[in-house]
Amino acid sequence: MTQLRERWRYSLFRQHYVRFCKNKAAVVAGVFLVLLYIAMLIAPHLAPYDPLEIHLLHKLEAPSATFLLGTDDLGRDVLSRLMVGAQISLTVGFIAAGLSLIVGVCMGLMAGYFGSPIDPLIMGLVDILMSIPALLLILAIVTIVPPSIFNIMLVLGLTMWAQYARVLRGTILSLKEQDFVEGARAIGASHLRIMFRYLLPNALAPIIVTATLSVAGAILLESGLSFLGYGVQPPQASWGAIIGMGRRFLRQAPHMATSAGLAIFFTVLAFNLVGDGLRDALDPRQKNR
Amino acid sequence: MIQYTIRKLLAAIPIVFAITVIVFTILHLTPGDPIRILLGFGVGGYAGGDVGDSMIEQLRAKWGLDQPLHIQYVKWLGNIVRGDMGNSIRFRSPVWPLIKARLLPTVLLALVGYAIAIALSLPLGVFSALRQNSIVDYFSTGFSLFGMSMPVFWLGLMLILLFSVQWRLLPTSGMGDWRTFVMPGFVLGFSLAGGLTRMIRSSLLEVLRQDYVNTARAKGLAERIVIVKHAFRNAAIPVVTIFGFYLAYILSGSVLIETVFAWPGLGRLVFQSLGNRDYPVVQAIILLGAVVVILANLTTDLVYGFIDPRIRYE
Repeated sequence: MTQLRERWRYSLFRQHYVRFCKNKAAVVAGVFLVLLYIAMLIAPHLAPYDPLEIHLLHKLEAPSATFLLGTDDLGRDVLSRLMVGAQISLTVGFIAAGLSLIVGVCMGLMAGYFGSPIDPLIMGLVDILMSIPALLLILAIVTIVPPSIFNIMLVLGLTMWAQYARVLRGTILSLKEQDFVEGARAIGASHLRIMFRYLLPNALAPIIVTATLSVAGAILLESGLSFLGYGVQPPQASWGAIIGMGRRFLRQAPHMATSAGLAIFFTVLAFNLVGDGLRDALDPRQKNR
Repeated sequence: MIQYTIRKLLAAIPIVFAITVIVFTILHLTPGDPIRILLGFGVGGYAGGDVGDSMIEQLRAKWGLDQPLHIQYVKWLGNIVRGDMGNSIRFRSPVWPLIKARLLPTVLLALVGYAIAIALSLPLGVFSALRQNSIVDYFSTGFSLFGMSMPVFWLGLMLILLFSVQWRLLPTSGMGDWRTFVMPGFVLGFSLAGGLTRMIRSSLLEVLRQDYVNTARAKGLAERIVIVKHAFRNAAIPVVTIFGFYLAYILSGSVLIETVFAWPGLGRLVFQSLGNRDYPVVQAIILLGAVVVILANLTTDLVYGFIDPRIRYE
C-alpha cells in the first residue's frame, strides 16, 4: 500500500493531474461534461415528456411551468427534445473525433516514420483535405449517402483526420532521430513495435489535446450540417436541426433556436476549456502559448 | 525566387488534379436524377407522369448524362481547362456567369469579415500578450474561447432576433446598403477573431521571450520601438501562415452565414444547387474554392520572404 502511494506520489500522471486541477475553468468544464454525459445516457428516463409526443393544443408555446423550455411547432416539449438530441450531437462528436483520431494517428505515424515515398503521398492527401472547404466537402458527400447517424459519423471522421496527421508527423520527425529509437532498432524491434511502443507514447500529449478540440469541432460541424437539413433526419433531431426548425419560427417562438444554440455553445465551450487545460497540464512548455 | 514559385506551382498541379477527381466522383455518385428533378419529380423520382420516358432520354443525351462516367469526366476536365465550366442543369445557362454574379457578394462579405476580425483581434491579442495575466488578458482569452465555441449560424439568428425583430434597427436579409453588411460581417468576423486573437497573443508572447528582444531592450531602445520594430515583424509570420487556411474556413462558414442572412453569394448558391442536384454548379464552386485556397497558401508561402529575410528559397 505504501509502495503504491509512493508510486502515485512521483507518477507522471499525478503531476499532470495536479497541474490540470489548478486550472479552475477546465475543472468546472470537465465536471460539466461528465454530468452532461450522464444526463445524456439516462435522458429517456430524465426527460419530462416523450420527445416525439405531440401536444397539438400547445404549439409553439413559450417556456412555462408545464413545458420548461416551451414547445415546438408540433407541440413537442423542447427540453425533452434537447435532452434526447444531446445523444445524437455528443455521439456524433465522440465517434467522429475517435475515428479521425485512429485514421490520423496511423497516417501521421507512417508519414513521419517511413519518410519518402509514403510521406509525400500522405501529406499530399492532407493538403487536399485541407484545401477543400470542409463543410462543402461534407455536404457533397452527405448527399450521396443516406444521412443516417452512422454515415454522418463516418464522413466527419474521414474528413477530419488531417489535423492529427500533421501534428503527429511533425512530432515523429523529431522523435525518430533520438537514441532510444536507435536502441529499439538495434535490439531488433519491428517497425510496428517501434511506431506504437516507442514513438506513439512519446507523442501522446499533442494528440490528446487535438482529440479534445476535435470533439468540439465535430459537434460544431454536425450542428451546421443538421441546421442546413443534411444531418440526421426527422423525427429524430440533433441540436443543430432544432435550431434549423427554430429559424422558421424565430418571431413566434424564439425559445427554440435560443435554447438549442446555448446547448451547443456551452458543450463546445466546455470541450475547448478542457482541451486548453489538458495542454497546459500535459506540456508545461506550451503554457501561455 | 522565380524558380521557387514555379516549383511550388508545379507541385500544386497533382493536388488540383486529385481534387477534380474527388469532386467529380462524389457528385456523380449522388442519387437523385437531375433530369427528373428538373422536370419536377422530386428527389425520389418516380417514373412516368405526363412526361414521356423518351423525353427524359433526350434530355439526358443533351446534357451528356447518358455517357460512361470516365468519359463525362474527361470531357468535363477538358472544358474546365479551356475555361468552360459546363452548364447549370437547373438554370439552363453556363455555370461561370452564375458564379461570377455571386462572386462579388461573397468576396465583399469575406473582406468585411476579415476587416472586423482584424479590428477585434489585433488590439486584443497584442494587449493581452504585453500585459500577460491582466484583466485585458483574461478578457481576451474568454473572448477567443467564445468566438471558437459559438455556432456561426446561431450567432446570426440571435443577432437577427435582437437587432431586427426586437429593435428593428437592421434588415434581416439580402445585400444592399451598409446596414445589410453589419450583421453578416460581424458574425463572420467574430467567428474568425476567436482563433486569430489566440494566434496573435501566443506568437507575440513567444517572440517577446527571445534573446534579440532582450538585446534590443538592453541597448536602451524605447519599449515602443522594441515592440513595433523587433517583435511585430517576427510575430507576424505564424499569423500570416494561417490566412490561407482561413479562406477555406470562410468558404465553409459562408454556406451557413449566407443561408441565415439570405445573402446572394456563392455559399447560398452551393446550398441551393445541392438541393437541386445541380452537379455542374456544385463541382465548379468546390473546385474554385479549393484552387483559391491552394493559391492563397502559395501566396502566404511567398509573402514570408518579404517579412522574414531569413527564409531563402532554395
